[in-house]
Amino acid sequence: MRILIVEDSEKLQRYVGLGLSQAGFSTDAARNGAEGLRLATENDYDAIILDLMLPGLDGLTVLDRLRKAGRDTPILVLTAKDTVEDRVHGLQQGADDYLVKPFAFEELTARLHAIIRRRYGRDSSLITCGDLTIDTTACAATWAGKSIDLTRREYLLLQYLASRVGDVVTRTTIEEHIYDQNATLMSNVVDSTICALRRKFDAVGAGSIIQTRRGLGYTLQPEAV
Amino acid sequence: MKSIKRDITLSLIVAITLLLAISSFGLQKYLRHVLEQDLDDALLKEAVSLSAVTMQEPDGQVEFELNPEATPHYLPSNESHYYQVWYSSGDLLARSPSLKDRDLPRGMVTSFPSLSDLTLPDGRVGRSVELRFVPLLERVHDANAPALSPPPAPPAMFIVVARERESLNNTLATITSCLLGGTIFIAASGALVVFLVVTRGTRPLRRLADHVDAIQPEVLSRRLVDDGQPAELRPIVEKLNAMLERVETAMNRERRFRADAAHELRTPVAELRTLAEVFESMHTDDPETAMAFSDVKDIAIRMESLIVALLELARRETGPPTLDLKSIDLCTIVREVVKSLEHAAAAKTVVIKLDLLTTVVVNSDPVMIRAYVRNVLSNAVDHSTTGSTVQCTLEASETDVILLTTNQCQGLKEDDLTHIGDPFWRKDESRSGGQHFGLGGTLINAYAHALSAEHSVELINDNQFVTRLRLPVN
Repeated sequence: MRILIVEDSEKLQRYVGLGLSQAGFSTDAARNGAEGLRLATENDYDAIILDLMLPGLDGLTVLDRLRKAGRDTPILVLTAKDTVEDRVHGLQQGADDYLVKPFAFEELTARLHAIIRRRYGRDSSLITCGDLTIDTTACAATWAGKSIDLTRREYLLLQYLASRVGDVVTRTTIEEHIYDQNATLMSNVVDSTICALRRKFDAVGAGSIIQTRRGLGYTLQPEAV
Repeated sequence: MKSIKRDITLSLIVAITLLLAISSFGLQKYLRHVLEQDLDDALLKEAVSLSAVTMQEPDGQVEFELNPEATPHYLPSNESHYYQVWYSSGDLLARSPSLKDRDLPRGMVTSFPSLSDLTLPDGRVGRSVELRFVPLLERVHDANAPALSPPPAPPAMFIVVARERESLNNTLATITSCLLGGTIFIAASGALVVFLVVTRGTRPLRRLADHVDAIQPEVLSRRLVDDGQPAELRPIVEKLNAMLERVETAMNRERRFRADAAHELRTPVAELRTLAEVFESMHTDDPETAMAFSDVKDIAIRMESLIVALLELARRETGPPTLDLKSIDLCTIVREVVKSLEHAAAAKTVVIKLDLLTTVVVNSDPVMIRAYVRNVLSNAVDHSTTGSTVQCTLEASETDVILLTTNQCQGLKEDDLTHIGDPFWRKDESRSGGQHFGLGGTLINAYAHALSAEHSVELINDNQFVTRLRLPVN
């Protein structure tokens, strides 16, 4: 999952980004509201962590403009403003969740998972596609109870396809959702990752769970098993 | 309480009544004077006329030649006009038929004419004039008459002419009554008119008061409308609007300060905590490093608690709180708070016992109530001796609810109770242990004050600490 962190505190941005990467997310960062708005508009993030007190364009304005532009990206407001009025105002403006600084990092990741799940219509941290089970909290995948040893990139790709099970997802969309903007991508990075995944699925007897739609993209089809 | 409307109304009513009374009195006096003067003039004229018919004959005899038929008002049947003529010796010359054989009284008068009130012979009140005159000489114009010796000098005569004045008095009484009645009626009507006019006139003041009352702390951007205000209220409206401007600026500055302070305080702590948590999780294979980051995390959490408490205290102390009053069940809030403290209580093997009614509904601010209950109960758990019981009781009457919390404690003295609400006061003067800053008691007092509730603490038998909150139901 690809997360945008809009936070003017460099240190907080760095450590949250580091922690989210450890938790299996890819992250982009913006230090001010204008940059955050630009990135959020140009890219399709799975969630945005948005500080409210930002230089230039403040967080609520960014939130308002995103919603008015029709972007329904889940947004978690992360802010020092702690009054009930601030929380209510933020949620009424269109935020999906609100977390006050300082916060427990574990809570941040849990809330992120929750708002992303809601986006994809899931009500659990487990994504189940036939015999395939992905635990988004533990960042682990199993096939018929057998653990599949995945690299970070492989896990992120599989998780994204599983969250869009049945949909044909283009290569570009996959890249946008699992790689941050700083990643230097080789032209066939998605294809090679798909190949690696297929090998590992074969090893556990999963077969052709990931299918190619020539000229369109990839799709995860549990019925194919 | 002083009231402009009442003062103006009363002043106007008193002034109008006084003016009316003075005017009526003056008018009455004037009319009395005019009418009495008319009577006196008539009496004098009558006395002069009667004196003119008193003639001295050439032989010295004084004759009073008045034709009774020409002066019917002196007849006995009328009894309204009287006259009597005397010689200066006191002998009677003539009296009016209306007197019959009675005499008019004479006073010891030295100047003439002399007007006075008198009691008429029939007992009625009258008015008289006494005139001293010398009768005219009657001359005989006969050229053939022998020349006589000159007649004696005419004697001085006195005439008293009197009239009844009861009719005048009745007229005057009627006039007085009318004036009095008119004064009372006009004063009463005037009072009502004054009241209505003043009430109407002060309506802009009441409207202004209503407009000011409608301005709430949450919407200080509202201003009083200047258009349509009377000229006398415009300066007040302008000053009030200027004051609202200053208050709004100050409150906005205060809000910005609080937001900035919160941001400046919270952000570095958030950085520290996130750093510690992330690196602690990254060093699970290096226990010493993980432990170090865990300690950093604990320090950050402690700093966070202190900052949250200080910011909350600052918020409570910056002016009257805006309470969001709702009908809430206090028992539910207490049970929810107790549930949230189960983990902390279990860590100290402290048992929280509740003695609550099923529901106790109060009209209050749920956030503030919850904060108070949480602070009291968490303090009770934190400061309870290990393995003891925290007892929480809720009693309710028609007007009040009493929340009692009792916990076992050690080392607290009666003298300490006065300090419990002091910021940063702790029993442990070395401040060497624990997670407490000494702000719990201060916050509890602040919440109780915001709720307009009475909060008190008590130490029983040196080891039972009791907090009591008396909260009005409405």
